[in-house]
Amino acid sequence: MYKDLTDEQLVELAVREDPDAFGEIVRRWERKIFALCFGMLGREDDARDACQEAFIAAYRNLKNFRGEAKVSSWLHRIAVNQCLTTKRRAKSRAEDFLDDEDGSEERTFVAPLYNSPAKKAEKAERMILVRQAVGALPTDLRQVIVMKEFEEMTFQEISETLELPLSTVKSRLYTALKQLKMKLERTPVEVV
Amino acid sequence: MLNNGNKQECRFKDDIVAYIYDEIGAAERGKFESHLALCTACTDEFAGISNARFSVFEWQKEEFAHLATPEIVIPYAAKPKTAEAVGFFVGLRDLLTLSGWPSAVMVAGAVVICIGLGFVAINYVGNSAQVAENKKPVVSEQPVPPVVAQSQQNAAIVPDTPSHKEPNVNGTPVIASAKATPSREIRPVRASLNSQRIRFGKSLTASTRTAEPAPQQRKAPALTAYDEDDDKSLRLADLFDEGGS
Repeated sequence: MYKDLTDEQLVELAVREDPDAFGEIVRRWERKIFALCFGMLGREDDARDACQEAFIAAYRNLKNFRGEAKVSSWLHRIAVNQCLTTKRRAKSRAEDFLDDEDGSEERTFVAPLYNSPAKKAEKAERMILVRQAVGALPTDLRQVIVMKEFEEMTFQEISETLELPLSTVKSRLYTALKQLKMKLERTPVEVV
Repeated sequence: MLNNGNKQECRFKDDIVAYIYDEIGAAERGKFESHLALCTACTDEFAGISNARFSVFEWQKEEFAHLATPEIVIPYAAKPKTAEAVGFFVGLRDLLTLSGWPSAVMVAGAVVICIGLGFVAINYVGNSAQVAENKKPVVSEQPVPPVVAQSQQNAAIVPDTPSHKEPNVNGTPVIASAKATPSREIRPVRASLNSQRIRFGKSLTASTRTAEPAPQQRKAPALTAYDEDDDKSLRLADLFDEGGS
C-alpha cells in the first residue's frame, strides 16, 4: 500500500499520526541517511547513533515540514544537524569527561535488525550492484576509488603515485563517486 | 535556509570529498560545516556522495577486508646448464655458492688442509736445515765413531786417573794420542764444551785443539773500544811536547 506513495504523501499520512507511513519513510531513507552520517562522522557506530537520532528528530518535527523542500532534503538537513551536534558533543566529551553518562542516557532506541534474512539478502544484492558499478567505471576513476578505499591512501599519496596534481585527484574521486551514485540510483535494490 | 538551486555555483562543492575522507584543514572544515547547515544543494550533494562512498566502503568491508593476504611464492626459473658452462670452475663456483651446512663443511675441510700443508712445509724446512747443518762438518773432517767420542770425553774429564793409564781393550789410537799429551791441561768445563762439539760430529783432534786456549783465538781489543783517558803514553807525549816547547 505505502510503496506506491510519494515521500510527500507519506509525510502527510505520518502527520495524521499514521506510524506505518513514517515507517515506510524510514525504510526508504535509512540507508542513505546512515551513509550521510557515516560520511560526516567517519565511524560506523557514531553514524548508526546519529542516524537513529535524526529519524527521531524528524518524527518529532513532522508538523514543521511545510512542503517547500523535498522530503529527502528535509531529512538530509536534519541528519546533518544531528551529525554536527554529535561532533560537538564528542568534542566537548573529549575535553570534559563528565558528559559521558549524559550521552549514554539518550541512546534508548533498539538497533535495527541488520541480521535479518531480508537485510542479508538486500545487502548481498547491493554488493553485487556495487561491484558491477565500480567495474563499469573508467579506469582512471576506478583507480582512485581502489587506492582510496582498498589501499587507504591519502590524497597526497595518490597524487604522488599517479603523478597528478592534488586537485585532479580530488576531482577524479568526486567524479567517480558521483557516477557510482548515479549507477546505483538507476538500479534500486529491491527488498526481498 | 539557503537553497542555491544550482549546485555548480556553490564553491564548497570541491570540499565535499575532502570532508568525507577527513582530509580537510580545520579552518576549511568549520566553514564547510557552517555552509552545510544552510545550503540545501550542498547537503543533498553531500548525502549522495556519502551514500556512494558508503556503498564502496561496505563492499570493501564485506568482500575484501576479511580475505587473507595470499602467500606470495615466486617461481624462479632454474637456468639450464650449457655444455661449455659445466666445468671445473663452474662446479667449484657451485660448491662455493652452497649455503648452510655444506658450505660449513667445505670451509672446515679447507682449514684442515691448510693446517696440514703448513705442518708439512715447516717439517720439511726444519729437516733440510738440520741435514745441511749435519752434513757440513762431516764433509770437511773425518767422522768419529761414537764410542771413541765417549772415551775422549771421559779422557777429557779425568785425564790423569790411574784407570785411564791402563791399556785400552779396544786399542784405538785415540787413547794413545790422549796419552801422548799427558801434560796438556784440560779443564772439565772445556771438556764439556768438547763433548758438545763431538756430538755435532767434530773430530777428536779438533775438539782437543779447541779445548786448548789458542793465542790466535783470543779476542783482540776492538779499535772502537779505545778510550782516550786510558792512553797514558799519549799524555806523556803531550807533556814532553809541552816541556820541549
